[in-house]
Amino acid sequence: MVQAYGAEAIRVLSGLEGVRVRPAMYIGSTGPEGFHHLLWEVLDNAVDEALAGYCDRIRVILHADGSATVEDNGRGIPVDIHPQEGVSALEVVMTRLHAGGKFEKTAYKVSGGLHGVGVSVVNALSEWLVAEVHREGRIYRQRYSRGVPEGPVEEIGRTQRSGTRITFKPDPEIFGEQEFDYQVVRHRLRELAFLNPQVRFYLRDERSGAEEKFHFRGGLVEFVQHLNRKREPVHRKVVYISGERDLVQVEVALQYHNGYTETLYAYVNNIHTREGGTHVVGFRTALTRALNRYLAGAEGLPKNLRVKLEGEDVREGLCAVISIRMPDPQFEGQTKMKLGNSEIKPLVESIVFEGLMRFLEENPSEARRIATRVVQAARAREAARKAREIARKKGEALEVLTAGKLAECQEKDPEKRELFLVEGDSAGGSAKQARDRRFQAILPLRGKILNVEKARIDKVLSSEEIKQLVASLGAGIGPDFDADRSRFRRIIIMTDADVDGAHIRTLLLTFFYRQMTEIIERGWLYIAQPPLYRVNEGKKDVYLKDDAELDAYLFTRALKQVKLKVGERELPSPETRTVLEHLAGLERALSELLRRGIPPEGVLILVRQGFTRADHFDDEERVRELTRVFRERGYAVGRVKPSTHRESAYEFEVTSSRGGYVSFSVGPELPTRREFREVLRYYGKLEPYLGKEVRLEVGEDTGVWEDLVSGLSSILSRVRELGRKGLHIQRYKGLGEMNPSQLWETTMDPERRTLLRVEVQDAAEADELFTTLMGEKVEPRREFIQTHAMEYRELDV
Amino acid sequence: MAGKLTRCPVCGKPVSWEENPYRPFCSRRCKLVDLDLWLSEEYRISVPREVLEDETEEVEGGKV
Repeated sequence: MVQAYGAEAIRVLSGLEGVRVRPAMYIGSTGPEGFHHLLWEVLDNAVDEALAGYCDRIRVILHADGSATVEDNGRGIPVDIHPQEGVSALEVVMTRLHAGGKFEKTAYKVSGGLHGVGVSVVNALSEWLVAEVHREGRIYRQRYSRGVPEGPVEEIGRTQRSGTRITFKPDPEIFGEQEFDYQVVRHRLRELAFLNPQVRFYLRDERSGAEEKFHFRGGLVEFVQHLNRKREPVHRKVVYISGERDLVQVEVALQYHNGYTETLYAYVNNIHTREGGTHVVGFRTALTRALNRYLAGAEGLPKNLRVKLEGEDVREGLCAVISIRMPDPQFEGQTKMKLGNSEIKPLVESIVFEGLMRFLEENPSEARRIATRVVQAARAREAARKAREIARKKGEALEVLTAGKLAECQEKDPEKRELFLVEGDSAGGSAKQARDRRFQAILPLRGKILNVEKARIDKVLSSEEIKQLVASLGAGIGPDFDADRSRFRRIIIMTDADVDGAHIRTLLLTFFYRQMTEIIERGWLYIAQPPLYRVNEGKKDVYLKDDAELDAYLFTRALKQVKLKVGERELPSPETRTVLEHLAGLERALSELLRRGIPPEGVLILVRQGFTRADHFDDEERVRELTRVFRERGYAVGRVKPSTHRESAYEFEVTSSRGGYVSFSVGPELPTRREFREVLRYYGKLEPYLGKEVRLEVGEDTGVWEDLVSGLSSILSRVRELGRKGLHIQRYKGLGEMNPSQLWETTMDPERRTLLRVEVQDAAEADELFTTLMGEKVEPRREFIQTHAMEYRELDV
Repeated sequence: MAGKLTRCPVCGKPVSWEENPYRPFCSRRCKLVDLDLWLSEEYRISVPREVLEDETEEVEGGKV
């Protein structure tokens, strides 16, 4: 393995003539780049010695007089007499152009200095240069002046070490008054240290006294971590791949981050190939191929990750370093910074592809994160394309409008136009008959039903429906969305009071919230309030909007026959009515929380323990105390941990399997919920009556409870039952159950209807609910839906 | 929502509402990803079939 490195290994290619005449031909320029190039050239020689395995320390010193020293602990340049040249090999290396061990593949397998031209050029362009060689126990020295030896190689002493030390001062005749830039040198040394983890680099600047050491055992992995240090990595573990084939060593490290830019550094024999080349092409091809293969084949990957990636998708947020070492690199391109060897592409591609597949297989969670990241990039690319398509095709938009789905109105002024988004075809039909066609337009939307499993169905807004909605509004979508262009100033969602209706409404609200936020912010989105109940008493019909209205109606009827006694006091009739309404309000607020997965008992524990504001969760000790209360009531309680909603606060998970699986988070977010505030409001109003025995006389019937809250539902149901006597109550499930004139009177007529304006907060809540309903298939969520799905039929916004 | 921090529906990062043209998302990117999910019909609400079947029964009088 160790070849003799003597004078015969040095081949002479040509002399130094012309270097001083045309320096730019050899070092690119005589500006700062060329000036520093001199140092890189010398440094590369030292690194080559390290690559060959003979050196592990390299020291660079920037001297006060403008000269620089590069010192290594390698074998030392040979000093014996060169067979063809008749002078020492050192002198040949230092004074003959294109002379050096690197041109003889047997001495160095790979080398970095090749993009340069050999240290002889540095010598030719230096005012003076001193080469000192420690080799075979002796110290040799030779001085040169502008490339010309001042004398033969001298032996100046004895040594224990080996190595080469080159000190040179760039010639001011060539470069003018330039200095080595500490930051530039430092940057290159750090880069070399990342690329060559086996080598320690030392830098000293005698002008400023600065001194640094660079040594990164982690190599490329550490390089990538360094590049990503100010970013948020998508996956923790850096992907590292290495392999060797046909004397070519390939090393790659990569890690995705949350940003959009690509950071890619590619090196060939330590040379930064800024223009890329065949190694980079091979790498990119392998990356796209491997990730596509993974997405197509990995088990348990959600369907929405099955996407075909394009090259640009895998580049976004990529931070990668490629380093290859090879004999005979061919550099092309304007600045000779591009690798041209065509055999390298397939070689790098196959090593990277295999390595990446192995990594993805062995690191499933990192793989999943990477997949999610690149799929998002693909999705964004797709969405931008589709949005442009939808927005651009004016003709198609018109087609949608004339295809009969949208029932247009006559009015042209957007301020006066109303668009009803009506769920279902039959309801759409009666809405079309009921409307005032002068200013009310109707777009029926039904959602699309997908049968994915026997036991359940999935509901989506079809892409066709979204296109129709976008076309009807005329305000574009995606990057082109412009609320000012909306053809309607009132957009009214009108859905049935059933599960289907609730789902379409949730989907639509979520869609508007996310993609047409400004429509909501401007107050243009409404929800129609069709009556929920029709109450028939003899010949009289009454329409009631919701449960609260129905309760008020029933309580009025029942009140004459109800006596409510709290403690020792019998409440007068108006007070009884108020108490009943507050109880009903509390019941509604609790059941709304239950729909969101929080059982009434849990809520009442919080209220009674005084956890009524977010900052009440700041006291860790109190929160721990609270977990004890939950535990005593038979709930399983998770660890108390810092809250994700409020920095200073704590939270914990509570799980119960009583009466259906329930799991919810108890923390500072809860008291901020609207429903929770409602609970508090009603609870506060009822407070003066609590803690006292309750006696309710309903006609003949008398019931006794410990307290109003513990009797909550039975008290209410007794009163309701009485109030209901002699009534026929119809609960509308669908708009289609109303005839057109009823629908007009109760819901659409601007003179009589009430509309609920959607606030951003409402839509945000719908989004939250939507997220709970659609999120990835996680078992607890499924059980949650099964337990509470019945409640969703009354979903409010 | 003024001054309120929400979370980006796509990536979960905290999002400021003010002066954020991509609200409620953190970035153009996430907003586009979301749009693509809508247009490829990936956003689904999943319902147990029996819930829908229960709906067909007539509900007489009062609360369900």
